[in-house]
Amino acid sequence: MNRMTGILFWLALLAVLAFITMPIVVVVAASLSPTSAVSFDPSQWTLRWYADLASQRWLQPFLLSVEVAAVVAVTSGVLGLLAAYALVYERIPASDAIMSFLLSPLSVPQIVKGVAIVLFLSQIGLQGLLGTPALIAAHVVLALPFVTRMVATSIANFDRGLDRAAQILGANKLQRLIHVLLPMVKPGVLSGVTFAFIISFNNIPLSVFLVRPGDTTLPITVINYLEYSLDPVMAAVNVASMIFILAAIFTFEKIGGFSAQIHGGSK
Amino acid sequence: MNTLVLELPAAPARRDGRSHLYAALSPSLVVLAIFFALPMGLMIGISFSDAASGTLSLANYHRFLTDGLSLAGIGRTALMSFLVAVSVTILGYPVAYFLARSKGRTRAIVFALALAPELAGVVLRTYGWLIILEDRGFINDALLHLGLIDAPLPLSKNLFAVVVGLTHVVLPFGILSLMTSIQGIDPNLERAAQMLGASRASVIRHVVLPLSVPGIVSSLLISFTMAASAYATPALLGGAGFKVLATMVYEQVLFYVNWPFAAVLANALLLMMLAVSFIGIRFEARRRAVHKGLTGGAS
Amino acid sequence: MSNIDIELVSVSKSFGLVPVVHDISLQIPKGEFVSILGPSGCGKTTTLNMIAGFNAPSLGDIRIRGKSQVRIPPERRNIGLVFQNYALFPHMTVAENVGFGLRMRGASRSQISLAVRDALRGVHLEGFGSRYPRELSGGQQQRVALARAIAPRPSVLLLDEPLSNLDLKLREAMRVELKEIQESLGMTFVYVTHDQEEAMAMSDRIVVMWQGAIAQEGSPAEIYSRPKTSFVADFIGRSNILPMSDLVLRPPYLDFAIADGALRLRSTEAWSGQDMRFCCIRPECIRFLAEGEAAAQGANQLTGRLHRVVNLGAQLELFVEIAKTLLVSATMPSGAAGRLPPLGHEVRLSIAAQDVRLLAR
Repeated sequence: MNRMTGILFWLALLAVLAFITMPIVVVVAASLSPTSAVSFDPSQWTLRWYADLASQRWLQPFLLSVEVAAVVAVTSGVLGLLAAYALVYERIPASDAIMSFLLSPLSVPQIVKGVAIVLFLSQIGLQGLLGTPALIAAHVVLALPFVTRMVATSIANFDRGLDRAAQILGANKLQRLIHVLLPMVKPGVLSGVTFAFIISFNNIPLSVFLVRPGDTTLPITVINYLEYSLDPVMAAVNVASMIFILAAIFTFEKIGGFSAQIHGGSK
Repeated sequence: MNTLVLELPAAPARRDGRSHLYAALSPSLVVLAIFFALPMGLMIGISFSDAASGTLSLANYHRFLTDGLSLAGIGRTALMSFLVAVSVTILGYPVAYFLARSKGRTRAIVFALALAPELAGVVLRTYGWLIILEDRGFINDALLHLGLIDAPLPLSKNLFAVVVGLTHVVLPFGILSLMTSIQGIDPNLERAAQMLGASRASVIRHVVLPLSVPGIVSSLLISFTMAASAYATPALLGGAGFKVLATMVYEQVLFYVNWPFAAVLANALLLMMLAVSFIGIRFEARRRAVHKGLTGGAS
Repeated sequence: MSNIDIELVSVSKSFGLVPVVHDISLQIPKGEFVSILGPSGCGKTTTLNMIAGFNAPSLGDIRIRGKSQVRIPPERRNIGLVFQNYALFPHMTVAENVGFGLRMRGASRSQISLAVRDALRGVHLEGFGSRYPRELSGGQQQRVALARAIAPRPSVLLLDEPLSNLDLKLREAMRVELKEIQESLGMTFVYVTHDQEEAMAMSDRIVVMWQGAIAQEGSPAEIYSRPKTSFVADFIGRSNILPMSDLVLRPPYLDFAIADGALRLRSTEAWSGQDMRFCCIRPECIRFLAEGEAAAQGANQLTGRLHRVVNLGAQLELFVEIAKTLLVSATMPSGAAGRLPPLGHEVRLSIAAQDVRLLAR
């Protein structure tokens, strides 16, 4: 009886995992297939679709996406750290209310936020800001609550005893921030920054209203193409984009070493 | 734990020290005020104005409630989101249980597999489903080949495709939410049930499932919310005829340039989100009250 | 200059409306090992916090070497603190942890590395400098915490139940080490604990706290043999605390009844005029008389039934039923077990009058 349950469980697990991986495997195969029909025969695979990646029609939106994501990541990281520091570490009055305000964008769907921003810009005559500036601002609004929350969690988990220990050993406020708080909070901050980068780079719903011809992101360029054709080049673009994100995460991880958060960290 | 710390440092409160904290907060507050609070307020306001003249009017709301298409859109959005929520929770549960109760390398692999698709981005995954589900796509190709069907099944450009695609997109979040909840259940409870003679299936049915109800509700709510707000997947997998609130808003803004009506639709979507969150909060509050009653107030 | 290192002058502390420490005055001379002993909630940790500077007293003053500390933040008091959970910086190596205090004071690299080496040697952890705290056992972490607190050579070292997370054998070994370190450094140690055995073993002086106030202060021997209240008598070591009634002065003894008047005992303790309610008899003071043996002149003699014997290894704990209402506990080395009659049989006990202590409350 128990074996039956066990087998069923494993089958269910494998089925779900297959469901999860299927589309990705298909797209990778499609990007390597010689024709628009998807081929799983490795001997037929070719990299020719990837050659198109170097062309301007992909390179330009890619670079824009990277630029926006980088600015958003750094900005959200800094702003989020400062905010979490003031609200969670120092606990200024009305911390809870202010934190609620900072987290409020999380309850609003991205489409709604996007409409509101483009409406706002056109009403006050700043349509000129559409494109990169608007994207950066909107993505920061999107990412900031996440980053703030992640850093806030890191600070909340910070053992105040360490702060006391440093204090009794003679460290003043600034020294404690630099030598004790910041290093302990670094993984949380870097997770936040990485997260901000990813959600900015991959973003669609918030960005659809904020792009301009010539000043548009990679994901939006791709879905615009997808409305009309299923060109295998799309697959190549998507796969390349995914590899880029993985590389970015890998790099961030090397810098920050926040995999400790996943593996449970010290002690 | 450290018993030494009872309260914050007793150094005399330096009032001057506070100003740098407000300065630290201000950039975040300013950004949100200008690019979030203000625009949201504006959008709510504009839904009450007439498209042509700009004067105060309820015409947009009237249209919303009477033109049939809008309400159909809401219904479709709700149905789609509901189906996604249920699928995600059902599919995610076994994975979540496994992740909650296992350790080591296998767990790490499953964890990566379950969450990595999120990194691939919505577009890649939706594109993948397009390839799989379309008339000339995978499934149809295979079925035709095997002679099981004569004509391609309409697996794409409809509700089914959108639900499949969104389930895939939302699944990592559902799994995380369920996993956290199951992790909170003391494993000894399962062992105790086993010692008392329960089969594995009974343990799941009588111990794990009931205790994971908060996680299940949380997963349902999160999935519903994410599905209802989604744009790209319904747009690509649903086709031109499949209108949900998100795609309708897009249409109103970029094709019809009807700001006020777009604002109405956006508000409707926002209200739907808030209603769902509200349900979640009430559920949580009820659960707390019941739990308190059961444990005699020692919550 | 006086040789008082730490002085608390009428210190009180309330958190909001909740009084936690009530009018404590204490003087700790230089070089002494003083324990603040009491059960949880007695205010000992709060008191330590105030000496360290993490809490400010609501009333009263705290002086270190004669200088009032109330306006001085913890980082400038030049005291050391060993935390109960060690509070080692996880992102720094052992050497960096130990050198932290000196680094904050601006010492040079060479000074720091010298001091770190000395400190690690002092706690028998030479060579551990490049390890991280998470790689060490509990006992090793505890010693790093000690080394870190001592390295900047503070005038006073505060220790907050530092051994409570260690298992028994390690605790007992660390007691000896701590005492040796304290003696060799000649540093004043203020040691907070709820473990009376620990306090007895290490201290020059014990301050017993209860419900926010000092119950009694004195050397371990004093506190053990002359407890002033039933709380102290009960908290330190084992004792039989029996309610007294019908006190009659019969010099040189004080004669009184126990067990609701069923028996009478005598004590040589002087009548202090206070309201004496209880008498206290340490179990090891109860002697078992052999067949035909008579009690010494002037000693109390009691008859009872042997109710239970508990074997604690080196000692036996014996429970004797007296006058059908009282259970009295006595101890005896295990080797003497052969002298005991079987359970339920009659036994005769002898207690010297000097060993009967009187308690006010």
